[in-house]
Amino acid sequence: METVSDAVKFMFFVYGLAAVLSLVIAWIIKMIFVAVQYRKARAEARNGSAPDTDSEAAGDDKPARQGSA
Amino acid sequence: MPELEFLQIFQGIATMAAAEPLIAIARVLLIALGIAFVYLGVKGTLEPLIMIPMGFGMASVNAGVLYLSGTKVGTLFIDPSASDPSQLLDALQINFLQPIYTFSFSNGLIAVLIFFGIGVLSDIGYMLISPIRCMIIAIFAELGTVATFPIAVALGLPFNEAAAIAMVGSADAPMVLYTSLLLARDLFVPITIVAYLYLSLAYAGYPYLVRLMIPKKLRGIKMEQKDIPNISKGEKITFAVITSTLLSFLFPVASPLFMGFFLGIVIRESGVKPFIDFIGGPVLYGATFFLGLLLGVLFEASTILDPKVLLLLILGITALLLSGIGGIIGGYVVYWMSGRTFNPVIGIAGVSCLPTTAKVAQKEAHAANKFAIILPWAMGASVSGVITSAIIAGIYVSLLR
Repeated sequence: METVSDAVKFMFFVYGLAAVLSLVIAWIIKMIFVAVQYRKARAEARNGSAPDTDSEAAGDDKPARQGSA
Repeated sequence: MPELEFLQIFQGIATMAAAEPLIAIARVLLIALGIAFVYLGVKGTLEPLIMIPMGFGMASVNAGVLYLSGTKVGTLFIDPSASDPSQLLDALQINFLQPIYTFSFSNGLIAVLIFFGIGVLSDIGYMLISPIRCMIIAIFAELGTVATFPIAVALGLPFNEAAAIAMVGSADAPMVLYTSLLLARDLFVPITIVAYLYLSLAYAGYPYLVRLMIPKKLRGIKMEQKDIPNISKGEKITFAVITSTLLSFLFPVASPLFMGFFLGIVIRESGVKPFIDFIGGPVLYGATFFLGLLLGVLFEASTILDPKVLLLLILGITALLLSGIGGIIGGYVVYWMSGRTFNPVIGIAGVSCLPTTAKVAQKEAHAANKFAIILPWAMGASVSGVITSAIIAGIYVSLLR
C-alpha cells in the first residue's frame, strides 16, 4: 500500500539524491575549469608572454566569451 | 441508383448522433478547444510551434470519426491501443500517422530528437560562469517536481503516475513526455498535453510571481559583467562528455535523454555547421511539429472523459507554481550567499525550459532597472535546470518503472 508518509519519505530521498548529484556535477565543472586555467597559466609561464597555446592546440581559436545579453 | 441515406454520406455527423451524449458533447468541446488553440497560437498567446499543429489535430480527429466496420467507430489518424503484431500491422497500413506514432512517439524517439535540438541551442558556457550558484538555484527550482509527488499520492494516484505528473514541475515538456511514457503509459497523452498547455500559460504568469515575491529594489540589482570568465569550446566539450557519461552510468534508463542533450551541446561547440543547421533546423522543428500534431490527434473525446484528467490539471499547475516559488527562494538563497550582490530574479530561470524563463528574468530585471543585465546568469540557471530535471527524471524512472 502506497501511503502519503511513504511518498513524503520518497520525496526527501529523491530531492536529496538529486541535490547531491547536481552539486557533484557543478563541482566537476569547477574542477574542469580550474584544471584548464592552471594549464593555461603554466603554458603562459613557460612561454613567457606567448598567447594561449592550449586553446590553439585544441583547435579553439575563438574562446566563447559570455558577456553580452 | 442505390438508396442513399444522409447520415451514410456524412459519417462525422452520423457517429456524433449515434454516440452517447457525453461523448458527443466532449467531441464538440474538443473541436472548439482545438480551434481556440490554433487561434491563440497564431495570435502568439500560446506557443505557436506546438499549439497550431496540436489544435488542428484535436479539431480534425474529433470531427473525423467514422464507421470503420459495422458499428465500430474510429478514425483514420491513429490507433494508440494497437499492440498485437497483426493488429499493429493493420493499423500501420490504415492510419496515416500510425508509422510516426509507433516508430518515433511511443518509444520516446521524438523526445530525444527534441533534446538534440535543445542541446544545439544551449550555450553551456553560461552555466560555467558560476556552476555552484546556478546549480543551487536549479535544485530549489525543482521544488514542484518533488513536492507535487506526495500531493498526487494523497489525492489517490499510485507512485508511478504521481511521479509522471510531478515532472510537469520541471517545465520541460519533452522530459515530461519521456518520463510519462516510461512511468504511466495510460496517462502520457493527458499529462503531456497538460505540460504543454501549462508551460504556455506559466510563462505569462511567472512575471507576476516574480513581482509578487521580489521587491523592485532587488529586481533591479546590477550584476558585475567583469565576473564573467572566458570559457573555451574545449572546456565546454570536456564538460559535456564527462557529465553525459557520468549521468548515463548512474541512470541508464534516462541515458537517451542525457545523450541527446549533451551530444547537441558537443555538436554546437564542435562548430560542424551542416550538423548544427540540420539538428537545430529540420530535426528540432520537424520533431516539434509532429509532436504537436500527434498530441492533438491523440486527444480524443474518450481521453478527456477520464476522471483523472481534472486531477492532472490541478496537479500540473501546482507543480509549476511550486517550482516557480522554489526557484525564487533559490534566487534569494544565492542573493544572501553572495553578500547581496546577486539578483534574486535569476531564480525564476532555474525553472528550466530554455530560454523562455531566462528571458522572463531579464525582462523583469530590465523593467526594474534598465541597466540590469542578468541574462548570462539566467541562461546558466536554465541550463542547470535542464540537467537537474534530467537527474530527477532518471531517479523517478529508475526507482518506479
